[in-house]
Amino acid sequence: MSPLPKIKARQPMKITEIRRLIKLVESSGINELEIEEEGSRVRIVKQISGDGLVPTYITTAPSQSEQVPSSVQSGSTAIETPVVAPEPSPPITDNLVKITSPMVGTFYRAPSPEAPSYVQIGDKVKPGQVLCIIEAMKLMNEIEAEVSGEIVEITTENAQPIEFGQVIFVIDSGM
Amino acid sequence: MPKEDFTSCGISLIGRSIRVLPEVSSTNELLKAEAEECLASEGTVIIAEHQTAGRGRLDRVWESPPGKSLLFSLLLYPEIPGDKMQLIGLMASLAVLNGLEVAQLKHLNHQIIHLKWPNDILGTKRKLCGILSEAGVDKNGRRFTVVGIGINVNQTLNDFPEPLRNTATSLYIMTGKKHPRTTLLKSILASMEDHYNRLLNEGVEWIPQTWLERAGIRGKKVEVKDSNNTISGTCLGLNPDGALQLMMPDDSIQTIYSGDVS
Repeated sequence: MSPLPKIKARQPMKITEIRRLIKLVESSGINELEIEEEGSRVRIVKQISGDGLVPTYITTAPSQSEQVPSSVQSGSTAIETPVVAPEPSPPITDNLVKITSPMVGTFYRAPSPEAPSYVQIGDKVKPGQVLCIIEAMKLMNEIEAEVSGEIVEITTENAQPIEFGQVIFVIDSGM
Repeated sequence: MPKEDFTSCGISLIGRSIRVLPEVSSTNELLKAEAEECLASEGTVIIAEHQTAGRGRLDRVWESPPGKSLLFSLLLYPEIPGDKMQLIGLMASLAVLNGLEVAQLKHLNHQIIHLKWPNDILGTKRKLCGILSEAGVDKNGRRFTVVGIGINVNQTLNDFPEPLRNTATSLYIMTGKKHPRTTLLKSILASMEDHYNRLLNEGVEWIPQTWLERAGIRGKKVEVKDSNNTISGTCLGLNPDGALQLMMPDDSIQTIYSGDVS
């Protein structure tokens, strides 16, 4: 078997990201993909069965210590045993509005390293209020709230890379 | 040098309103605040003789001894797709470079002035000009960009604080001559108007290619530092959104959106 390809993830692993990676593995010529980031690791294995290729997934839990894969595999059938400690998620409501990044860049929660963050979880915001800055190539791009509501999730750490279309904030517009 | 009158340096759009302030915390900050409230029109230029809190990337302070540099911000309302907004900075650096060359050609004596990704201008490999752009939305919901430009014009080496003396330069240091800032500003604003008109007429596709040709870094080894690490590779070119593409030693390709390049 060829060496396991490894890439360094740039952001906390989300379920949508895992789905994207599964599709990537399914459509590619590689058999295994492992991604590590601080505190969590995801490994995606493509198994060869009589019927062709079956993707199987192994997800390890985020923890401070070394993790052990905890999936059980039987023949060509993979039994997914997710042991991921669920990330704190916003309360389920129909009013959640996602604020996404309009560009690739670096996410800043404050106008300068010493300044307080524009917003915190629990803050009430109104349309036009600045939530963060995305910097790309010395353009500091202010991202504003499009609706009023309460910030219920901030998906990215300060000064971390962010992708085009990536969700940055979740606002509960019903609050 | 006689008192300089900057207010007549404007072109038809760029600089149609020019204000000069003896001291301001930051021209970008002021013009951005005015733009947010729809108090300034496109093309407005604010010049500061002295900035007390001039901003660079990551809030690095831009050092500006009073009256010796050319510090100004320009308000634009470019209609650029959100993921290519940053190309305005590359366009501005091309415009400033061209403006400097037109105004100073006979004085520069073949000194090397070149572009440094994404939008600095170096003279003899030292910083001559820095550009920092800030994008926001005005109260009518229109997206605007404030382009902040700082050019070292008549500083002597001793005018720079000690930590910058090995990395900064000025037109005076490069040429041994004092330069009237009004001549420079007029030339830069005229060049900016040409470049911006091209953007309005043709879109932004020409910017990365033109920048790359002018910078001449394709195929060159470059090193990129950010707050966490340093990587080096060979420049393959720029993406359509202006990002730097590097071929790494392991043949992988890295796409760079921020960092200090050397």
